[in-house]
Amino acid sequence: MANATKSIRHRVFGLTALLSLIWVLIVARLFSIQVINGQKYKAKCKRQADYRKVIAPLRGIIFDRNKKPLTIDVVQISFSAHPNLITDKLSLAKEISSWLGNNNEKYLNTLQSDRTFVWLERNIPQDQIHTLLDENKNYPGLIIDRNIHRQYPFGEIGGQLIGFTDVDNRGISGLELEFDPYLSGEPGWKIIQKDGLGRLNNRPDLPFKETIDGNDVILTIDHEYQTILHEELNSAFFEHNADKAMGIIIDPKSGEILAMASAPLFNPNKPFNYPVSSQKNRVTADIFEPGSTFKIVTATAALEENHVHPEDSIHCEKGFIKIGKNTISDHKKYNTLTFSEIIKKSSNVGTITVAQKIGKDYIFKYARKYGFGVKTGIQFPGESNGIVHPLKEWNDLMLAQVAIGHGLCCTALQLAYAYSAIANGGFLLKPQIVKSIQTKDGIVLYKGKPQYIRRVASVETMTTMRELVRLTVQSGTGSRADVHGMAIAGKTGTAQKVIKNGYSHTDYVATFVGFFPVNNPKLLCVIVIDNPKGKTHTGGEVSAPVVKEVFTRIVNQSDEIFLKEDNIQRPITKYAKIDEITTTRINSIRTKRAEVPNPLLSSLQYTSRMPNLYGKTSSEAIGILQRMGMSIGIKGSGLVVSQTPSIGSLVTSNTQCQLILKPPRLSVE
Amino acid sequence: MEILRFSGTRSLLKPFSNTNILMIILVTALCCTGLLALYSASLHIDLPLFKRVVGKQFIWIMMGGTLATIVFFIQRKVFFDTAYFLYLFGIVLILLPFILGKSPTGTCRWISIGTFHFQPSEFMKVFVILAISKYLSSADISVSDFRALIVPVLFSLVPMLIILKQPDLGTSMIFFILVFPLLFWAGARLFHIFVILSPIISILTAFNFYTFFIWVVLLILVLYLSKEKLWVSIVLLIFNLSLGFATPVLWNKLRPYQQNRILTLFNVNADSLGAGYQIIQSKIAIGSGGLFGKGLGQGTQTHLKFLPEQHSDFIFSVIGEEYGFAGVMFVLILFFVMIMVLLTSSYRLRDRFSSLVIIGIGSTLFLHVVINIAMTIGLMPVTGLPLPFLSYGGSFIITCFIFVGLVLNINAEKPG
Repeated sequence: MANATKSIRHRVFGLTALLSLIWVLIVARLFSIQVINGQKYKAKCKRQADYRKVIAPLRGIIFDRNKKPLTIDVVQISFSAHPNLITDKLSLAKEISSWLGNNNEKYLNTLQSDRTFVWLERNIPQDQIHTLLDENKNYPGLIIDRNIHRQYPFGEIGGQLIGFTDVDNRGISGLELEFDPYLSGEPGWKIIQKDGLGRLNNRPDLPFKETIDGNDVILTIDHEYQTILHEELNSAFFEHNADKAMGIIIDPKSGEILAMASAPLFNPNKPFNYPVSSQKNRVTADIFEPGSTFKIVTATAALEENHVHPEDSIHCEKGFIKIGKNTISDHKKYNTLTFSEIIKKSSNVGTITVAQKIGKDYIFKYARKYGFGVKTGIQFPGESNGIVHPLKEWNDLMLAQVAIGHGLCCTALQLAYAYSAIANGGFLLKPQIVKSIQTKDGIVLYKGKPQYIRRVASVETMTTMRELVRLTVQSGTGSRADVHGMAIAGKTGTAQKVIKNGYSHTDYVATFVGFFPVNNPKLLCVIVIDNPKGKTHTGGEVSAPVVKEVFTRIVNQSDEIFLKEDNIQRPITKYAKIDEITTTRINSIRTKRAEVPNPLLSSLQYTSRMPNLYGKTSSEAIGILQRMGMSIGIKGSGLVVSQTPSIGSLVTSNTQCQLILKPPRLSVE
Repeated sequence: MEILRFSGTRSLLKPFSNTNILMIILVTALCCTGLLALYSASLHIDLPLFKRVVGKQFIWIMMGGTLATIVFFIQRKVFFDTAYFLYLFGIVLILLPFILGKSPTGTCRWISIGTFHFQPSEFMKVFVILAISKYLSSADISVSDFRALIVPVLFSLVPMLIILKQPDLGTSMIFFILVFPLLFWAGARLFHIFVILSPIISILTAFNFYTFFIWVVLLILVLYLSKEKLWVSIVLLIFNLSLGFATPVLWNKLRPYQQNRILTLFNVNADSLGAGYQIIQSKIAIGSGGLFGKGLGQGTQTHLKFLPEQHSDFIFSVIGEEYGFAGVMFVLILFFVMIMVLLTSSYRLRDRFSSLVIIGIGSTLFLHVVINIAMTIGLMPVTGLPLPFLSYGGSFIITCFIFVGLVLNINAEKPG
């Protein structure tokens, strides 16, 4: 019996020890979790209950110089709710209907649903919502979402210049990219309480940060000029069946860019419907051989360094000049021409003869002085340097080629600013595209002003140069740009395109640079048509008429600046009045446009096709339609079994889409 | 036969020994703590108090108390005499759901009578304890003989397998483990208990070479130290080794769907959100409580519904979040004292049947407490066992109060 008692004691001791051991283990673990790591778990607990909702700021607007908006932020507001978190459903329904102007019964019915989440209204344009709505006020259980997307009311006009944004409203090309730091603004946030079932509760006592809206950028671009350039450039582009075309209008005295256009077309509202090559601004990015337009370098060097006088006679070798094994010819056989006639008639042989007299050092120096081979420094992404070979690589043939604008490349922008030095009496200017940048409250952050880089040549030389290029239009190769009563000056260029072995005899780049009025230049325009395939191909025949059209239309548009000061008689053109224009030309577009773009109208233009939603879940379908900006009506739950409009029909962002959903049939074992 | 005690003139005060007074205090304290936690968890529910979980639990506790009182007044001899009959009745009860058909979730755990649902496997715990205790206290068996252990093991194995098929891994585990403290207390040799456990350990460790290796070394060591007859040791070793080697081979021979069936049986992947999610949320709840907790109704884990099953399996986490380390220590001390009280009283009792029943009850409560708490703090996988007196759940609360009634009944008689 004593033995049995002892054995029982052993067992009690054993069980007590086991029990205590397990308890110590549990207590140790609890101590570790609660006391040692308590702060860590507290942080985790807070983190998962706090949902940081990012509130997108309004992106700054890009305006033209007359404050015409070239971009719009379309703000849409969606309302959704967790009905079981709302205590007073009737008063909330009344409040919502006061914002939206609808009958409150509709919202009350939705709010009385026993679902955990309901949509009340989706993607309502902000201007349709009554100002009573204060987005910062808290309504428990109600969720107000704002989405912003960028639209370009003028579409293709200035498309490559303005660029576009990505889905997150960040600029990814053009001015949208260049000025993104100013335009984007700073997103705000708000801490919203989230529960384990994913429901959000907007509580006013939780921290938040206000959004800072983006700044407005006011360009030097004049939208009227941009429209004219766009239309004229594109009609020439189509007329001549060209590969590409680019044009730029600047103010040669201030260096402000007034218009800049590229063809083929590009519409930033639908960026991915166009090839990537159409997205770039060719004026700053594409390089080409300038051809005869480059002869101004030789001419300026010759005049400035006193090698020739405009009236000096130069022997033109009967239209042929031999350099080593190569022969360069003129388009006509000239015997003897004065220097001014060489420029006017664009004689290659004559120019080369003069260049040989001056020597390669000076030609190179003046090419550099005019800004060739170096970026102009424009505030625009992806500018090209152009190509001017280093002086040590120049041989006799190279000198001859460069003199007539071959063997080097430039951008249309560089060409425009080189000519603006002639137009403004000798100053190379820095391109200016932004007049000012302002906050939404009107505080000026940046103000553009004319920036002078260097003097290219003396006033006297430049006066002579102006006379020479005026002669070119008056009676030389650029005569197709002449308008009676408008003192237009300019220079043509027809460069043979470089192909595999040497220069092509069928493909050309036709260039014309014009400015006017010659004595007090106000506008300078460069038109480059790449590979025109019609009957004509020279700069004088293809590009000069475009410049003429551009200038006459601008003068018709805004007479006061040109007519008062210079006393030029108003030219008579076929465009008597803008309103009466009816042309039969290809792609002719009306000049007069709506003063203030209507966002609804502009969104109507961008139609797309209805996707196939059959078999999609409601969230998938809503996602697809929301990306298209459509409003959605849903009946039932489960998978989509019916949709209106039908697959493939044309829809706009204003189309109301109706979906009928049914629960999927479950396969039961 | 006389069924009720105290039919004569015995004083009603006499039965309240120290054990019983302590037991009543502990149970009351635990139930109040549980009701407080349930009150907090249902604080923001827009229902009248008695329709909320806390109100329902209060009603269950009242019913349990009544039942415990009834059990208290029944003659102890009645339990001894009817133990086997009750066991058979219990087996029928846990088989009933299979006959009546599956519940919408595909389990066979519940019996429904109108709007009233109950889980027979909970009551089966009482019947198994009574049956095994009766068998082990019979005069004609010698527990030190290995053959005497076969019947008790079968008593626990049968309900265990039925409940595993329901499926309810947690509860079936309780049935299996329960038999060992009873055998140990009855005086079975540790070596015999080891022999019963060894094949299971062999199967479980067989999937990993290292664990199996360690197990085999341990097995050889135990066999050597036990100084059993050589042939017994060799047979046992060969049996376990062949079991260990055969298991992976047999497992790989099964088709994937068969493997899945077995895995489903063991509740792996039963939780769609991942059992890991529940444990993480439970740990965050307990951990964020810190030393003194966030206070009543302030637990964000609880009120923002991050904590799953907060009324039943994870009630301990609610206490941890709202009352911190201090609160959970209070609960742990109550349980420790309760189990120690049961152990002491079992030691004092001279009647073998009474002593074994108390040990069975103590072990059952202990297993529930340890498995539940270990689960909430991530020391064990989620098995779905409730915490006695605290978790919401009618059948389990009633069972716990039957235990209390039995304890009070047994201790009401003078030891010796």
